[in-house]
Amino acid sequence: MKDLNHPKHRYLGKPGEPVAVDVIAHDTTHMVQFILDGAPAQVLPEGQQIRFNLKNSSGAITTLQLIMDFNAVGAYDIVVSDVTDCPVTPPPNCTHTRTGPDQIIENHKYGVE
Amino acid sequence: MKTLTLKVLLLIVAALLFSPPLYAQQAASEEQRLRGNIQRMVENGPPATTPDEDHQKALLALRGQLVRLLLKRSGGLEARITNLEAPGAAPETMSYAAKLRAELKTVNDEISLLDKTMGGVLPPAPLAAPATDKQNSNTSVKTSADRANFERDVAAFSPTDLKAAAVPAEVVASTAPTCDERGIPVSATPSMYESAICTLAKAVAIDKGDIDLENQERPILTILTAKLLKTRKGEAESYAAFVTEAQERRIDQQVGAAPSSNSATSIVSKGGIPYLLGFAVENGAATQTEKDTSITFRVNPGGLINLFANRGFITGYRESEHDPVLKLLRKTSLGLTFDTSRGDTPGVFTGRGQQLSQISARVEFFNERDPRNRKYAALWENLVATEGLKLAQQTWDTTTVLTEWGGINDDITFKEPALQAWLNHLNQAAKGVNAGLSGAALVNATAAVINDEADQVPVASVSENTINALTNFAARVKTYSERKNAIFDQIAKGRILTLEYTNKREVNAPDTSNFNFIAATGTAGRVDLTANGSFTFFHSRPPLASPGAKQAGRIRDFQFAGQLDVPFGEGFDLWFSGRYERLMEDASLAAGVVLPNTKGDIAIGQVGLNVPIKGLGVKFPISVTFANRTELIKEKVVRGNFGFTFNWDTLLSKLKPF
Repeated sequence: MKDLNHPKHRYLGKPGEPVAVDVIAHDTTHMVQFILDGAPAQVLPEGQQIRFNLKNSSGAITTLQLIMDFNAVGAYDIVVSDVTDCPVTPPPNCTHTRTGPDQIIENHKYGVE
Repeated sequence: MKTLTLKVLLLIVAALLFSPPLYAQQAASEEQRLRGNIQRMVENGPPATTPDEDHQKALLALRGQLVRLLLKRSGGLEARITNLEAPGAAPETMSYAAKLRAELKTVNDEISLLDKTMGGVLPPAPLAAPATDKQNSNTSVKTSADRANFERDVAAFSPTDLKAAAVPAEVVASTAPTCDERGIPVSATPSMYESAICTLAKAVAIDKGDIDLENQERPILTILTAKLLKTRKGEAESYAAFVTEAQERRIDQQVGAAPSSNSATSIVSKGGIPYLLGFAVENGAATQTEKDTSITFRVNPGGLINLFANRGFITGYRESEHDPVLKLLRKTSLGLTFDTSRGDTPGVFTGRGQQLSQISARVEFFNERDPRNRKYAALWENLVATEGLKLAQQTWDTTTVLTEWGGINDDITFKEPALQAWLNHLNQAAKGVNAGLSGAALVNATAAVINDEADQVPVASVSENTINALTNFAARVKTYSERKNAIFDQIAKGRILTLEYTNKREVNAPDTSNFNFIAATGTAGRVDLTANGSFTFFHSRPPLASPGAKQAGRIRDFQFAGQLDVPFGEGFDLWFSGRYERLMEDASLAAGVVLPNTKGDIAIGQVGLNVPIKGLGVKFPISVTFANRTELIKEKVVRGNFGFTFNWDTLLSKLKPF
């Protein structure tokens, strides 16, 4: 999968390509939920990945909304696996960090070539 | 009779429910103003034979503004009519709906006329999507033509239009918060709105990013809640108040930091370890008679290693989590106290060994006031799985009503052109702040601009769908925040146990060692209780007070002390403390002379106040001490003490947050 726009969390991959997203807490209790493609909200337990496959039709988009909260002045690393063209970290993973203490809503788009 | 009463009641309820809010009246007045201006322009236009382009443009802009206001009114009327004509409506309700329908026709006729006059140059601005309780998938991707139309509508909203659609500043204006470089308000009681402003200011000023819906949806929704719901009635208005009211800070600004120094101005030691350095100057002995000025430096070795390794506040703390040695060092601190009355130049701080009067070390056995403590894991898990999950679902529902995600190359935008125009203008203004500034100064200058722009949220141009979605979101935020704060309040009552060792270096008298156990616990209302229990022994037996006197023992004294801290206001701290000391042997002067008949009991009481200086990590402790005697003189004494303490952690967090 290719990092299409890093600051805006847009990725582009092949039809049906698997995607894995890790959310790693630092100096805060892990307090994360997510909504994948409009499905009901789920809790993301510590140490677990968000895994899904890209859609099969060209141009189709999978949406991901992450909600991350803090109980200290900590941070979350959001790591998307198997990404090329990431401008901030070497392949295969692409990482960005969000710092607290205020709750964060982050919106991602995963498109099909 | 009963039926008539019921009908009257229904009418009153309907009138209350569907009565136009304040901003609707303002919008009507704005319509009148625009009609008047259009008429004035038409009546005073150039001759038909010599058309004036500027005149046409101005007229078109005025008509465009009027069309948008009328469209907004039309949408509002349609929603009210639909609600009134719902199944079970009484004839009186239907009659009122018919009246609204007539008004709707008038409005729509005027729109058609304006549209015709304008020759279709400015197509009607699309309103938000029809009310949907829930969209399971964000599939409402616009075509490129839709997108182009949308962008044209957004561009058509001039700053003047935004200002005209905003609620008057006197209704919604807020004071800009003071933020630190990490984007955290320095106030001890920041509102959710102030936190949102500081977060956005940091995103632009420090991270050089955009205020966008991909990353900053949460603070943007908080600002919209504060401004859009402010003019509403009932619960919606209460949510606006909730996000703008001062709230006690639940998360410490300093990671793991606690009171940095224990001064001679206090008779009780407090538990806790600073992250890096503490510094205190005190004048006025609380327990002895000699009034010296002492300077105490307290250092956290783990924090200092991070500083020398050029690691910042958060990075250093994070890395020490994975290093057992650093983790242990983080729970310790070393203190050096210099007595400026000693040495070659008394009264002048030289920092030489002659002035070094105390060396102390602390180790924290446990600290139950850390929210990350495993003891509280179940509480947080429960919050995340219950109210957190409901908030997450509502967040998505609100996101789908308010925003348009577009294609893979499109930015996420608001669906309503007015809101998107406001967001664009906000970005433009925030990025235009003086580039000559840096650090916290730049963050604060940006925060002031964002705060001003927040007042320009185009309340009159926002649909009921948006208002409803935002109200639902704000309701969930309130419930979630209350549950979260309840957990913090529970944690604030946790216990702390610290051991402090102090080696007191005398000039001529025998040196002493003191072991002090410090325990603290919280009570209701964040009132803090601290208890000390200590004993001191001589390194060598003191000389005889007089020839033939009994040889002194090795134990010098034991002490018990307690303190009650009552925090109030923005960082103020009132304390009441007491200490009992049993002096087992006669006291000695610094010169080594033993004062006979000075052993015995000493009781001390103290009242004090810590006065903070916002954002600087500096506190001025002022206290008054009452004692039945001092160690050296058996006479009652009343003494005032003052000083200042400085927590270096605050400065480090400003200079090098990451």
